[in-house]
Amino acid sequence: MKKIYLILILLPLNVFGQSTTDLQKRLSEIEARLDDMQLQQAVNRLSFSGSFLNQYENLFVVRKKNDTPTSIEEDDEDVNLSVYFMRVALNFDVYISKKFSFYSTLGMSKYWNMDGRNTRVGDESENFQSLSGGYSSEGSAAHFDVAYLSFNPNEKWNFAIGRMTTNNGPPLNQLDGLSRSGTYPMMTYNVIFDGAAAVYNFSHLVPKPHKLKMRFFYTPFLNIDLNSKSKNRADTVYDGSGDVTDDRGDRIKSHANFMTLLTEYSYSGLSWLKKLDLYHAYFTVDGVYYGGRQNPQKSGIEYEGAVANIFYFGFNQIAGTGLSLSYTFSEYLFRSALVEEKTSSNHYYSINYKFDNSFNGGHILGGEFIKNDENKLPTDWTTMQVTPFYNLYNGEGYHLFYTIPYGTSHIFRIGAYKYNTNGSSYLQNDVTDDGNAAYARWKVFF
Amino acid sequence: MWNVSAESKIARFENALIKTCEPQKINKLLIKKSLIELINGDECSGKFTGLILSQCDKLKCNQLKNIYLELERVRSGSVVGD
Repeated sequence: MKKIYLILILLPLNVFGQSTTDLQKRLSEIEARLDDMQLQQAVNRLSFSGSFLNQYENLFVVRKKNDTPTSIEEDDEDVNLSVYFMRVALNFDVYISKKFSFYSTLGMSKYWNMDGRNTRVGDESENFQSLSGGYSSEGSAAHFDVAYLSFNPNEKWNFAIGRMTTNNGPPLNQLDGLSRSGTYPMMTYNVIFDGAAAVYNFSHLVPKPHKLKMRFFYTPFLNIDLNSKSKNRADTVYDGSGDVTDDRGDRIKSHANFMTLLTEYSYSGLSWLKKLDLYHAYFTVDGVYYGGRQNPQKSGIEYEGAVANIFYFGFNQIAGTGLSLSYTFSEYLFRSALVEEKTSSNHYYSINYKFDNSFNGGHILGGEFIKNDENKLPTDWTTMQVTPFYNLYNGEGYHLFYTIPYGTSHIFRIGAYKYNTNGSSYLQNDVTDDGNAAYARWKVFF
Repeated sequence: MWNVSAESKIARFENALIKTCEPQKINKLLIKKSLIELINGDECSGKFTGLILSQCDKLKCNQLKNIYLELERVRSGSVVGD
C-alpha cells in the first residue's frame, strides 16, 4: 500500500525526465527512511512529561487554649506564616508491551531556600512519611511519588503493583478544571499508597449510559527495624515531649493489613446532567503501630485500626452549563491506643463553575465547604498548602478560589481559606484555632 | 521521539471525541491531523479541526479545546486501572 502511494506521488516526476532507475532508487531511499522512522518509534518506549508549581501562601491563625485540662503540653501561640513553596514532578512512563506499562513520577517539594525539615518524627509512624513522599516539603531531595506496573490482560481486568496514583482524586482535579487525576476520592485518603490493585470493569454487563467499575487495593503498612532489615522493629514508648522514655522489649508485627474496595458507578443518560458519579470506598486497616501513641502505663503493645465508608456524589456539568458540584460523606470507626473505640462522621462539599464565553472562557470560580467532627482522622498528606484545611477536626471551614488557565501549559489560581478547629480528645488536643489564609499559585505543564 | 506519549495522546483524543460524536463519523486520520493542528496552536481555525467540527454537530470549539488541554495536563496512568 505504502509503495502504491509513493509511486502515485513520484510518477509525475518521470514526466520531467527522470529515468525509471532514478525513480526506483528514490523509492527505495524513501522506503528506507520510513522504515527507520517506524523502527525508531518501536524502539523509543519512554514518554516524558511533568509539571512545575510555585506558590505563595499566607496563613494567620489566632490560637487559644481551652479550659479543659489535658496531660499534653500544648502550643497556643498564634501563627503568622508567609510561605513561598515549589514542587516539581517529572513523569517517566514506559510502554513495555501491549499489556504492560510502567508509570513513574519523581517529585520534590520544598519551601524556598529551606532544606532538611523533618516531618512527623517522634509524632507518628514512619508509614506516614511514605504516604506523603515528595509532597512532604522536606527539601530538595526527590522522591518517587509514582512507580507502578500496570498489567492489562483484556478490557475487563487490570492489575497494578507498586507505588500508585492514589492521591489527588476527585474532586480536587476540578479546582484546576481537569478531568480525574487521582484514584481514591480525595476525602477517602489523599496519600500515596504502595501495594497491589485489581480492577474489574463491568461495562460489558451494563447498558451503555451506565458504567460500573470495582477497584480493590491491598496496601499494607510495614514495620521493619530501622537499623537492621533482618529484625522486627523494637517497641518504644515516648513521653509527652516526643523523647523515648522506655523500651518495653517487645517486637512489633511486621505488617498491618490495609485493604480498600472502591466501587464506581457513573451514568451519562440524564438530559439535565452530563455525568453523575456515585462512588463508594470501603477501607479496613488493622494492626497499625504508632510509637508516639503507646501508653507507657500498659505493658503490651497496642495496635490501632479503622473501618471506614466514604460516599462520593458527583454532579458534572448541570443543565448544560459549566456548573459542577460534589458531596462527600465519610464515616469512620476506629480503635486507638490511647482512647477507646470512636466513630467519626464528616461532610465535604465542592462547587465550581467553568465559564464558557469570549471574555473569560475556561476560567473557574468555585468553593469548598468542610465540616468535620472531633474524631476526624487526618487523611490528607499530599495537598501543598500549609493551611490544614482538609484535615481540620471539630470545626468547619470554607475555601473560595478562582482559576485562570493560560494556553495549554499554564494554570494560575488564587484562593482564600477561613476555618476554625476546636479541641479533640482523640488527637489529644485542647486548642481552638481561628485560621485565615490566602494563596496564589502558578503551575506549568510540560 | 516520544512515540508512546503520542500514541496514548492520539488514543485518548480519539476516545474523548467518540464519547461526544458518533464513532463512524470521525476518521482516524482526520483525528491525527487535527491533533497536529492543535499541537501547533491552530486551535479551531485548523483545516482538519474545522472538518471534525463540521462533521460532529454536538462538538463545539470550546469542548474540543478542553479535550486537548486535558491531554496536555493530565498524564496517562493517573487513575489506577483506567
